[in-house]
Amino acid sequence: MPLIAAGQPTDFVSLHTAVKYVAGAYIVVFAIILIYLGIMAWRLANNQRELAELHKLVEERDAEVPEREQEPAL
Amino acid sequence: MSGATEVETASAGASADTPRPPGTLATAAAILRKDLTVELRTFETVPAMAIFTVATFVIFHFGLQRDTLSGQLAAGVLAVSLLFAAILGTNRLFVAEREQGGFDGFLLAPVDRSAMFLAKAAALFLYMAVLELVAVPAFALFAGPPRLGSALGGLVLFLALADIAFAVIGTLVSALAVHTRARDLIGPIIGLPLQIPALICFALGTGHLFTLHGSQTPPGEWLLILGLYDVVNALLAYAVFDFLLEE
Amino acid sequence: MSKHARHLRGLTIATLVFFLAGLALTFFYAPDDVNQGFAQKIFYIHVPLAIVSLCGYVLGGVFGVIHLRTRERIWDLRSYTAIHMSLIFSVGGLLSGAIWAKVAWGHWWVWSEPTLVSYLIVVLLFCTYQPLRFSIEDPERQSMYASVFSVVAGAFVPLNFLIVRLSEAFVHPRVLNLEGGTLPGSMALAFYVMVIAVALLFATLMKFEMLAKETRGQTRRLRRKLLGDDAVAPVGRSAAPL
Repeated sequence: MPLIAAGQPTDFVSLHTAVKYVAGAYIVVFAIILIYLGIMAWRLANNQRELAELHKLVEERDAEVPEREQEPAL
Repeated sequence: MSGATEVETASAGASADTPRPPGTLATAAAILRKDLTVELRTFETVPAMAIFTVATFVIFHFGLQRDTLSGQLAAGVLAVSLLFAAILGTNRLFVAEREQGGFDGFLLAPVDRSAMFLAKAAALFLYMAVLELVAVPAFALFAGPPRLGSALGGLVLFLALADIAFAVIGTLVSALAVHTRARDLIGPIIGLPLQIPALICFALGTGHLFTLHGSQTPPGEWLLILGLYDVVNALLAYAVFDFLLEE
Repeated sequence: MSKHARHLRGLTIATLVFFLAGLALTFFYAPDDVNQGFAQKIFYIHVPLAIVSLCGYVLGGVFGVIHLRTRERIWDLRSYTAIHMSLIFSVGGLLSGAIWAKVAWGHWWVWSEPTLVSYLIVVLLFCTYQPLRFSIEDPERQSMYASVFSVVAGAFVPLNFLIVRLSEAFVHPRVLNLEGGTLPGSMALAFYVMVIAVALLFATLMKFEMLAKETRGQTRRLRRKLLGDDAVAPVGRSAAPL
């Protein structure tokens, strides 16, 4: 891009306005990445909840099995 | 009449003396003959494309509110109308194969898969060429670009090269889209961005030809770039097309 | 431990270090531009985002080629993740580019800038990647077709840039100057550090996403094993390879 020391000098935007735009650009970029991370974190939480559910199921099943094994012996 | 039956009869004919399967070009020719026969019997695709293009010219007239077009505006209207007609043809390209089991028959036949690409691209190219026999006179009538007569030679060159791009990319995109659920939508949205470079070359090159005081010779650099774009896309499509026909 | 988790911590730390260093160099070390003043600071985030996302698209195409050759699902997953991350970076690149155009030229969009225009075309093309995947139900076919798309589209990236740039060069002749070609040393340092930082961010997020996808797949398999096939919702409505 012919922006750096090339072409005719454009009108200098005042520092005050420039700061707003620069901050805006950086905030937009970081917001997009944060939104992405937020969505991924939400999915991670879902996955963890599901894993915990499965874990509980396995434990319940393990607890049931010995009882059933004992029945014929009694 | 499906692609499979043609291919089978072709291979049956060959097996009488030698049990060799038909070559790529023979297979492609058989499929192309089948497509053209179907088109000649049903008149399904090309007339629709022609009506669509003429309607687009009329719509541009009302949208732009100009009685005559010249220069870049004329080139843009022509290029965009042809591109949309090509998209229309692209959507129909593999419909018969999908609906009547032509793909399965083709895959069962012991022939080179690239033949399908060659045949379909050739069919689309011919459709576009026939369409332009109607579209260019209609364009001359409705838009009245200056110096169309003297620019005709250059215009034909550009049309031929642009048609190759439309045909090659259109065939590839059509094969990509034909097995998807929303194929009428997926085809155009993938196809349009891929066609933009061809459109740029065509529009800028012919815009030069339609300018009142421009030079008579077609701008060589645009012909060259458009040709290069054709070649690269044709090689690319030829390389990846086999993967689209697998089951 | 999954192989995607390897180096993830190191990569994350490196990304943070480079980002902080890049931002510090941008705002405290690199001088203000002669023509644009402070507004030119957008350059240090916009251009790296654009470069990295374009490389990501091409990378997705390279992974697609490997997938077509080896038929291993992992390469399809890599191709998908690379394109997915590039799309996210592209949104950032386009928005920051628009803000920069506004402050530098007074318009939110400038058609006379070939780099910006060809970038938009590329983004438009890759926006169709997810709908394409989404609309193919058979996972095998989905991965094959997606790879074919990634190869064609990956090759389209340099071609398109060349043609759009040439069109501008022929129509409005001017000296072509490549980004960074005329950067003075202190600006170049900040710029390259930011490029590395954004590239590292890309690598980190790509690894992270692949790890997440893999873990998700493992949970599904576990659920199927424990509760039977009926307990797992069909993947059908998903565009992502699992």
